[in-house]
Amino acid sequence: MTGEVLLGSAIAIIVMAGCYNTTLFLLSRRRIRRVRGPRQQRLYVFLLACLNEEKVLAESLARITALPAGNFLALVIDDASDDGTADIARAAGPERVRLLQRTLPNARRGKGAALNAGIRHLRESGLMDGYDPHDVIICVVDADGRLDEHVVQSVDPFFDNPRVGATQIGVRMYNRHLGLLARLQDMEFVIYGDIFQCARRYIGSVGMGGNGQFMRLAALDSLAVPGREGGPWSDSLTEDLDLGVRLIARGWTNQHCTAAAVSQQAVLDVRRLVRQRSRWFQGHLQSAGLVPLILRSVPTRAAVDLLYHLSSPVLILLTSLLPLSFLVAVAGTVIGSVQAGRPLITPMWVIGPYVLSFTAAYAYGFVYRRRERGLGLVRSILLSHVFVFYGYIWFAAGWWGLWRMLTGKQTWLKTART
Amino acid sequence: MYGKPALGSVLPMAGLTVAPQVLPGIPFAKGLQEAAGAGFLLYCTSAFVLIAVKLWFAARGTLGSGAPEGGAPAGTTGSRP
Repeated sequence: MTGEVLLGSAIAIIVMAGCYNTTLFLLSRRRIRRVRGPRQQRLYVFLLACLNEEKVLAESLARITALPAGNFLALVIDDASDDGTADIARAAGPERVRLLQRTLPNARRGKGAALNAGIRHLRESGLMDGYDPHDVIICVVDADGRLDEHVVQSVDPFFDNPRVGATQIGVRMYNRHLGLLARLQDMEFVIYGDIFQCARRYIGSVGMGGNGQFMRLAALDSLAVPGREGGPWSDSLTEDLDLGVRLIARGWTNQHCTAAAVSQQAVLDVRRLVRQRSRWFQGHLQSAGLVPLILRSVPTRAAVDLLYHLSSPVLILLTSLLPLSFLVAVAGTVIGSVQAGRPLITPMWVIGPYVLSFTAAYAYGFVYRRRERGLGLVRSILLSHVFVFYGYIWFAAGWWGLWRMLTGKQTWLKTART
Repeated sequence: MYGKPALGSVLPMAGLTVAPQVLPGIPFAKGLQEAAGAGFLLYCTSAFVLIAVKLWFAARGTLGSGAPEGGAPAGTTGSRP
């Protein structure tokens, strides 16, 4: 009896996650009604925290300086790079691109610390003097981030609503044509943005992604803790997730913009990809510290979704046991079939798991095809079947991240550019 | 987290509940699935407690206490926070 309950509970994980994914897919198909306020002339400041980014920085800055927007500047925060990062920033044009050089021992303390230093520099240098903090929009862009040309025009209307504290744009992979792994990462970010983030606009729990993340300066100011130095960003490995939750807890609305995207470099090596995801996973585990804040200060509906979001690492670890169980059982049954001299596998062994595992692939294929018209619906759906297996990367990453956390390892090398 | 689409799309062992025990590896496979099930029951218990605490806070009306001056909880309309 106990065994049957436990086996049923294991199936319930899949059913629960499937119901959640289906609900968010349906929510994401609804149109959003925007609350408008008076149009304002806003200052856009792009922050790029850079540590040895000479391979990718020039192209990103070229995209920013070519933006058809009136009032903007970029601040490159060089976090004590050993390469030519600072030279590239200087060469990009002092009119639009400013450089802040950090030095050791204060530098190389994580992305959050670098971004906090950037905000302090903006204030001390007087670049934002005379601006209302409500009309200054800070945008975090990764050094390899290539912003769409129309990004400011797409994001700006969201800030007409005075309650909007931050807006995340879509994330794509600019090298998605370079193989299956890059393509699957592109699909992963499109699905996350176009299904999960879009749906979370209705729930009030849109998350921040660290690249292509636009925030009102007044919202960042509201995160300041009296009597504590530092800045709005925490030193968490996933400082973006942390900041998004704290903005919601302070009463701000986070939005997700589907009309513009930032393109970044996909990782082309499985081992490096698993390592990158392990870092994110470990950061996600660290974010469990946000639970008391969510319970106290976030509206109930958004809180329930954020609690599910923050607890998804636990579910990932639990579900990782199921494919392993499947493989062991299939191997055992094949051996048993050989010993018995007849097949012991029934069609339900194939049909049942297929329906439960790959139904979502059709929805994912449908969503991805809307972004990649050239791919075709059939290829897109086939690709999304591969995507289901690609998701298993998280299982390896999850156990690695958990191991690092249990062994007290907090430092990570950043993902190298190619 | 970006791994969320992976949830709900893993190969479950629906057929395992009726699989004969004599097959090699099946007891181990069942053990793995039971471990996942036990973990999920623990997860549900924790989730129930957290949601109960959340509802208790909501009933006490502490919501939005951290909002900026003049602010309000997300999802509402009105003047600038």
